[in-house]
Amino acid sequence: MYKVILIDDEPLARQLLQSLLSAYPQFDIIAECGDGFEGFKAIQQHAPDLIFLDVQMPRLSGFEMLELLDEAPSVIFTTAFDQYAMDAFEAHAIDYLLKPLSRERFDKAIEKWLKTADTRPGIQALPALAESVAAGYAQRIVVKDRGAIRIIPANDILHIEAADDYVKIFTREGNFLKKATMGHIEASLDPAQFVRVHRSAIIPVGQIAKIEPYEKESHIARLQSGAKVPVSKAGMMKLKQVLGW
Amino acid sequence: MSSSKKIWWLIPSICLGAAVLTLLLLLELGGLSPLLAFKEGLAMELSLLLTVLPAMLLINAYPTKVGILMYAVVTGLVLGILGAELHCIARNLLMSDAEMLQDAAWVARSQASLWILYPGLLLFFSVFQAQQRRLAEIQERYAQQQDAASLLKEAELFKLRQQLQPHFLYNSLNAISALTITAPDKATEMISRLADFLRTAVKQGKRELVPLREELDYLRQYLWIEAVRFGDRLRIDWSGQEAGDTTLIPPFLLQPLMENAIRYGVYGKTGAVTISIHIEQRANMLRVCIRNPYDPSLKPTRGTGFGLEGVRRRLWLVYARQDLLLTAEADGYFETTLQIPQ
Repeated sequence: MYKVILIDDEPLARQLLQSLLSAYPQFDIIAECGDGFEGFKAIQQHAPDLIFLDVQMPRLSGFEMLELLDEAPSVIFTTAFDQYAMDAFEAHAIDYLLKPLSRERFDKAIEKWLKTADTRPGIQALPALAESVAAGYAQRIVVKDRGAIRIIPANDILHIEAADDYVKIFTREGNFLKKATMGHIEASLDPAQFVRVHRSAIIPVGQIAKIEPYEKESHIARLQSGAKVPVSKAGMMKLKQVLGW
Repeated sequence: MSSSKKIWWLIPSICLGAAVLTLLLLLELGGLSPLLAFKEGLAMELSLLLTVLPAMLLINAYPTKVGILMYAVVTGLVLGILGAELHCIARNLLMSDAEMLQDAAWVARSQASLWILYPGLLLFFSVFQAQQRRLAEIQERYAQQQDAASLLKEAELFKLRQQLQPHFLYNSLNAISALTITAPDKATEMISRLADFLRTAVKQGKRELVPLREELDYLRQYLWIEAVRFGDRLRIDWSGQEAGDTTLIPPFLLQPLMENAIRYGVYGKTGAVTISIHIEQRANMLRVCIRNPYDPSLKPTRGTGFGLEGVRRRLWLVYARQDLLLTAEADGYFETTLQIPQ
């Protein structure tokens, strides 16, 4: 038996998935969730083999929920996006079903999943997917804070530092770790507001109090929070561009 | 702008040219002494400058209620007489009595010709200037029409896109798909409601303004479908006066606002959500106020509400006003107020 979780904000959409899945006795629906928060909890609790996930959901989007999981389960996305938005899914060979769902497409996706169920890698391309379906830059970053989910508005970020496989996000209410690369965080935030001034640091330009020279060709940025952040030669050039110096 | 700038130095130089020409002519033909001819030229230069410049200013500032040609003729004649008068004054100031007496015959003769020369010159200038202005106006109006035509096309396209709302349509079809299995009767009803909604959308799309009543019907069709999709979670609270037949509104403004309210209301919270809509008409202004609860700590994931931007743009296209859509947030509520002048 494969454990399945359905995550979709519309009850009728979940009902449809239920009835389509009822043709496959080897799948057992162990939970149904109406948003990303519930989905996150259910996935941690049940460790499902497969989830059906709607991308646009209340409170926490499908992508944000996946970002928070240490071990991403195998996912089939269900979405009402237009076909063009799904090019990124195609490009990364990620299974998705367009709404309204068709039985034929559903069956194909399930059969394909069954064939590769044991060899399936987790999704590696979440940031690229998120960018492909949404216009504009991220207004917030979602992190785990002692088991709970915390939403950090982009405006509340003091600065971001690299920490091995994680990034450390500094806010007035404390520091939070998120499993992500600096490159992904940099790409998702608005470049007019956030500048990657160093391999290991991203700062909001509004937080800069002072920039001082440091050794040859590098600088140190003093932030309003009192933190000191290294600025590389390339970082200085980016800063100058953004600030129009 | 650049052509009018050119004219500012063109006019004095023309005046100067005219004055120099007069001076030369007088020297050759009138047999005047060089000094007197020079003074005569100076008088002309001064009085031409003092009349041609005001003529241009007056023509450029002409009141639209009068015909421009008539206006130019009157302006030209009045300033022409004034110019001649000015010339005489300048002459009296510049030339001593002795000088005047020396060429008394010539002065007496020229005095008369001034009264023809100046009005004629200024009349010609004013009418010419008025024609130029008319030409510029016609060109401007033509450019404006071109602009309006392209804006209209843009608005048409925009309306079309608003009508289609693929996301809403796909989700509704998905819900219908589920209903065919669990509640076939309801599926049939939902299909006909969705068809009604689309029919109205196509019909309204051709009109600039529609009765508020029809727009509210359209909104109710939309809300009925949303209520099926979200089940018990969505409640709508209507209040205020129902509008009469004379209240008009551009189509498709309310639905995107409601969609926005639902998105932030229902998507921001998990339990049941009440969205209130209040309609009132006061002093030739229709006000529709839509209020939804929202969680300010849940920032929108990416981008901002497209719905609001779209409505604002349409209001601009129809009324050329930026102040008709107001938003406010307080105490966990988001309020959008749409104002439509009647």
